[in-house]
Amino acid sequence: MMRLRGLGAGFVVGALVLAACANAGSENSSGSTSAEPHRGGVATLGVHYEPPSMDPAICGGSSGFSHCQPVFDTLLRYDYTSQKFLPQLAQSFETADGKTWTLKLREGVTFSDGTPLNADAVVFNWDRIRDPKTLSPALRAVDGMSWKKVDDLTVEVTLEQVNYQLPGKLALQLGFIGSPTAIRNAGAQAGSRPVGAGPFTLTTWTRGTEAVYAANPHYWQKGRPYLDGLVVKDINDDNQRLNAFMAGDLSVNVSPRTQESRTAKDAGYEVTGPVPMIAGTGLGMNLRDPLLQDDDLRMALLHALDAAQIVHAVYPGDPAPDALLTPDDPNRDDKAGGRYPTFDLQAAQERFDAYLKRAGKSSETLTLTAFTSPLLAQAAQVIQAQLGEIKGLTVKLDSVDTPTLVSRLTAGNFQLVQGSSNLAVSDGIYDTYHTNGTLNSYGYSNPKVDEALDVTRTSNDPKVVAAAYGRAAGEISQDPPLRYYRYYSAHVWQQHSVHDLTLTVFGSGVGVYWDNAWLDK
Amino acid sequence: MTKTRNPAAAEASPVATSGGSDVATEEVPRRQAGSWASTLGTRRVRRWLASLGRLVLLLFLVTAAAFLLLQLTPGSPVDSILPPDATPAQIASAREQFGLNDPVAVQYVHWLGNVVTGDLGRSYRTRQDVLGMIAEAAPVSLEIATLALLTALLLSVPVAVWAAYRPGGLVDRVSTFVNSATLATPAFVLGILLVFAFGVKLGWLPILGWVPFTRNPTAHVEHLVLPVLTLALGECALFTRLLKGDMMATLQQDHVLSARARGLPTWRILTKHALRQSSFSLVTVMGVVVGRLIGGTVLVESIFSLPGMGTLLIGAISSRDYIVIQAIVLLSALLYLVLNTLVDLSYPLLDPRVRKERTW
Repeated sequence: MMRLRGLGAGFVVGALVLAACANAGSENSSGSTSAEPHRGGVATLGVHYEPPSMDPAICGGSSGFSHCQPVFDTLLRYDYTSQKFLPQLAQSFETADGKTWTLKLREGVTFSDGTPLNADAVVFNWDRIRDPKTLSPALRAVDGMSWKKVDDLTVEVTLEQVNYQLPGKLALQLGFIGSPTAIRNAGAQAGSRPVGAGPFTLTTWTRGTEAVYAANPHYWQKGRPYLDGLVVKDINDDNQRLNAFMAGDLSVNVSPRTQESRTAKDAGYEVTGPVPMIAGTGLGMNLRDPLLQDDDLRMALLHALDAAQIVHAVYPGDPAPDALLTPDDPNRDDKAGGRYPTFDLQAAQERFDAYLKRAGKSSETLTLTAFTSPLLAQAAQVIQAQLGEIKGLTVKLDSVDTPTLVSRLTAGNFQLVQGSSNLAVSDGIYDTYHTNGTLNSYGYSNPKVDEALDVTRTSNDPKVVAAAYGRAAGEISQDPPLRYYRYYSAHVWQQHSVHDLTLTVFGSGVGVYWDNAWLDK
Repeated sequence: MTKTRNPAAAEASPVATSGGSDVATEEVPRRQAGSWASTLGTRRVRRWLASLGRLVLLLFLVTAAAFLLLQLTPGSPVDSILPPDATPAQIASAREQFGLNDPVAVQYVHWLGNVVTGDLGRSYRTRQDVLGMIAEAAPVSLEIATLALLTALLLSVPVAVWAAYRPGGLVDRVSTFVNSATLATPAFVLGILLVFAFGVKLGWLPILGWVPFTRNPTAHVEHLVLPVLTLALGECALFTRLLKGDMMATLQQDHVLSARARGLPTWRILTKHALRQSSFSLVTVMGVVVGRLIGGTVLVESIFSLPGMGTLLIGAISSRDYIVIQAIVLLSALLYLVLNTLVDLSYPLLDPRVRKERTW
């Protein structure tokens, strides 16, 4: 089992401690408690996202965790308390050289339809992910990977290049394993009839409203789950989620809003957070655009951005980002430096004037592509106003809906953009900021960052990896292609009757492992 | 000369009085009556066929326009459904699966051909059968819209009738104030106020979600109250004002004064003699309001997390799920056209004078 402290930056699990849980069958440590778990009851989770499908090949996308994990569990999971990757459905996932990995499955684990979760099942599921026709969002996760069945409970994975960060993929993108029998039988309906080996089975799914689960009597952890059932409610409106929680319709709520979370805490509820993530919303720059390849112009924009003013206006209570990593991120190395350029209008004007002089221009116009949703639109207007403080610079605001913005971002058809990144796994930093990163939408390329990020994959020394992440993050922060104006944070609210939630982080926020959760009688 | 229902009979009369043969006298009325029935029947059939033809043409125009507009909308279903790091092979496969490689006209014809056979396709995003998705979502929206309409009528008709009967009275004054306030309040504000009052503060009603009737009828009704009220109250204000105005005018007419003079009970005068004839505007507006209610469910379903057509449509638009959007546009247009046709057909039932005029 790998102690991957460095991965805490990207794949963080906050164990919510209210009561200790006697975990006879697991090494998961989820805090201390003086109460014995009670059996029974149905917990209700409120979320603001829903996956398009519960096909295990689709679940590994950014929004599938909350709906899919109850049914499928995951091969591995990351426990924030011990900062380890813990075995879950997999008994171990080990390597000697970072290129060849051995996945050992637990013996006797079956899917809820009675068929075995074995090496054939893992190979079947991963083959589906690799098939382009499946349209799996996890396809990139298997780049440079090959696998084969060694015996009934063993799969050997071979990488083209060394990558000690691979376990993160078995906790998310490649971690959901569905019953091959059920998938074949369901055909096109595989996404609506998921069959896994998780603590629950899906009873009904009313899309856009709620998914209802019942306890899986064949769950591999005997005596678990303690709950009789689970309901995951999709509630898009933030205020309505707050209302539902206050009215007692939700046992647990996941909220990205600091102000709301303070309201809940002031009302006496248990609130955990913000759960640290490498995530945020900010001003993105297309470095493939000739204008933005100019250092002076970029620095002028970065010095003109006042993140404190933006969060004060739009996200009151949130801290203003000063670097890629949050201050409490264990990989952040403040001694090495590496912060965002500070808000300094004079410096911004000087850099901009230098740019104009060199370019032989008297003024410049840039276009900021932004979202239309209320809060983001408000933030975009503030950014436009701030950048407009630079004399000679005009920033036009082009507000478009999310699908249009995503299309433009993917196609590189933008100058400035209101961008965001939610890095569920630490490798996300590599994918986003490495020159060869598959999610490098901004055209960023920095040899120092590439070198540091290569070390994060090629070294199995946690201290070396942590230092490498710190160097990379610091270097990125000094001249970022995406300058956060707000750290994305997630808060978990829970009723006093809920105990022993184990938290994790995925692309859209905080997820909950329910196998140890219980309710007061 | 007074118009009669049977022009053929009027034409037959001069023949009978002119002293023609008995055979001719007996035969001509039957032959002319038969011709009249045949003509009327043919005319009716032609009218129905013409209506059907117009309906089909309108549906074609609406769906073709929607299809074209969707193609012109920026953003692509492939970009919405696949992650930013999708491989070229995935993108190619997605375009192939969604039929996006064909020219727009071919895509539309292909879709139309499938629709005629009852196949609305599969959602790009969820891969579900679109007809099945709509079959699950439509009853929710229809139930909410229907109940909102009925609630609005149940509340507005008695109030409007009494307010027209007693203008300036307590009911009139209170209803005028409440209506003004309601009309000035956007539906989403109204919904949030109702949620806060009855759900959060008083805890009387659930504030969101949906429980199928078959699972728990009581909970089903409880979950309907706030969404239905949110939609109904706005329309109630409109109906009350409209009907009250028409009623007040009708109550001044001679036939109503005559009924009063004959000593008929007030309730009979109000309902049988005045209300029916005052309902034209209300019925006409109802046809328009139905369309608005169907659209209004989008907002209400979003606030209350209801699995109706509104939620389906918002999700489809957000992910550029063209095929789902097309199906919803088609069915919404069909519903709207059918309902307005029914509104047209209801006029003769309300006022026989309309029926007589139509026989010419």
